[in-house]
Amino acid sequence: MSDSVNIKQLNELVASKSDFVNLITHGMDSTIVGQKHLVDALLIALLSNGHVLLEGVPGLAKTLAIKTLAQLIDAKYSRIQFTPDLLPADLIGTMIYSVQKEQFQIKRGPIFANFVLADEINRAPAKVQSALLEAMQERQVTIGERTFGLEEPFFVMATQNPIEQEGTYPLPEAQVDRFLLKVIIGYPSKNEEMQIIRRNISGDERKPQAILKPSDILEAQKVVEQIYIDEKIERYIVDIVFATRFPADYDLKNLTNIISFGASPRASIGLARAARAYAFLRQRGYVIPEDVRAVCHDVLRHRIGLTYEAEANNITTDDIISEILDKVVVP
Amino acid sequence: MIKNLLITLIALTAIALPAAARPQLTQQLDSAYLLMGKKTVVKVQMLRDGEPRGVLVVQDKKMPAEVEISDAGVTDTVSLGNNRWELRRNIVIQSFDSGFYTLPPVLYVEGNETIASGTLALKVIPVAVDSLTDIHDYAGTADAGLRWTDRLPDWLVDYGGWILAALLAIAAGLFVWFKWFYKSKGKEGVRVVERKIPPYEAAVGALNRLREEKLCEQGQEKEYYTRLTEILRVYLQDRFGINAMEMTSSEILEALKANEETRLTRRYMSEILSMADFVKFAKVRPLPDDNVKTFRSAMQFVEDTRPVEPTEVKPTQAPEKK
Repeated sequence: MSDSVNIKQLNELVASKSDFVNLITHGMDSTIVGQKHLVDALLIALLSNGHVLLEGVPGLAKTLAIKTLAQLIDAKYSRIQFTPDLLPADLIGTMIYSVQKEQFQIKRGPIFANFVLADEINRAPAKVQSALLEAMQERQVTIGERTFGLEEPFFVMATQNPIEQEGTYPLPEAQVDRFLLKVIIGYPSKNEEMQIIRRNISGDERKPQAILKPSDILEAQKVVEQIYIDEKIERYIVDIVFATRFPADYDLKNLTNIISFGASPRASIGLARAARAYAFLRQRGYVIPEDVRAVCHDVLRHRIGLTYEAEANNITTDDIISEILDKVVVP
Repeated sequence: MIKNLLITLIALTAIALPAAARPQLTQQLDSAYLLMGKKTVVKVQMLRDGEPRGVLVVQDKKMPAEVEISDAGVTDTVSLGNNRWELRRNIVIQSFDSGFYTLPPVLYVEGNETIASGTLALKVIPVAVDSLTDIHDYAGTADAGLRWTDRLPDWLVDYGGWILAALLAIAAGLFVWFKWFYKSKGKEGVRVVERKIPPYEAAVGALNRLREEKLCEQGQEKEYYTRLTEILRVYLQDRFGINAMEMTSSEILEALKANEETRLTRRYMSEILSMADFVKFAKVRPLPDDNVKTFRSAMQFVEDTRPVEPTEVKPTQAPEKK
């Protein structure tokens, strides 16, 4: 077998640069019990230079996960608790008048960090959400007349509580679309829960040690961008996304009345980026259909609109995605 | 002379006036003869001056027993002008006994005054009987001359023609449509049923055709491996019911592992799929030996999973007893 030069080099490059993945996974495992999918999703989003929207009930180690990840990478971490009275200035910063210097000084907000945890993002009004999402997209903020670039790497993990909807400001579809992944986390298993109890009551809280630098992540991001995606994979991604828009064309007529709107082109881009990151985690220099399928639910679940009929029948976007994956022909 | 004449005239007038004012009551028959069983009318009439206030009385009690009153009628009062009035009444009578009868007078009673009409004579004539002819039983039901159409509902008889015409038009339309349908679908409406090729035969045939195309020799390895995996996926679907077309390589291998028939032979598929993934998605150009090896693995997998055909077992002959 004679590999073409690019792929061979790429495979070697990926192999050399993805060593830290096992270290990070191990480091996360030593702090967090279970939640393997959450850890994978955080790494995928981080390596794809995207952001994660996390949905789960309180107490599932959401905060601990991102905090641990920040500590392992030795990155600057900040947590913002979103509340109804939060203002954009509380997030991005503001100008404060200095009496001593007799001039306005810029006070940077908590968004100036590598890892930002936006806790309960749907508790803040739309203008604060907008400010955060704009910063996520542009990776820069303007305070007064000055524009500041955000830290690199810049990674936002926003959380939503699915059970308390009173007094919340649900994120509009257009803004949810800006999150690369929407991850739904569930309760740990019985064995995992027993381990959690033991660790907490024994006082055996292991503080993670930094094992790499933010610059290593930036390098890894560059490698991820080079991972090869064949035309067949691109076509597969397009087929999946088009199946959400025109299900009848893919022998999925039953979904026509269930989907109110399909995934946007941003979803196609997101699928390709996340699939690359997944291939990187598996230490591969090219994407295979499995990579696409592995990230498909997380990438698409917040980008498909459901009709009232679907909601009445308790059909979720995950059900729709699974059905689409079972119908679209794998290259 | 004139004086005598006037006295005479006055005397005559005095005699004539009471006679003129006296009511006249009469009854009469059209004919004094009546055939036995038939009916006839007795016409009663009374003329008088001044509006009549009395009633006409038919003396049915005095009527001969052989004569019956079928209809006593009602009295009709008519003003004739000049204070002259007429009373009319028609009485229908009938008799079933031959003979000569006298009908009693009709009376007009007004207060204490009673006026009677005259009597009438009636002769009832018997019907001639043919004594020479035998007595017959009741006659049978007469044939009304009904046709079969009389037994049909009226609406069917009335609109039968239109209904028949409509049915004929529909039949003609269907005939034309069937002709057109079969003409467009196939020859003379004959449906050609293709023989379903067994999955094993189909896979072997497709693999042989793929080899003959020599795609790898032409530098089309990607196309070759795409076709190769497609043939095997179709085979898995048709042979084992595994939806391999919608599965990734690892999912296919998992499905093969779960299947008793393919558990041992899945290593061939593992080699093929991993090589195919390299070629299809990683721009890898395999060596010619790799292509040959992959093809052999594909053939081997199909051969090893070929369905076992039931063989006829000959009954063993029992050894002859000597």
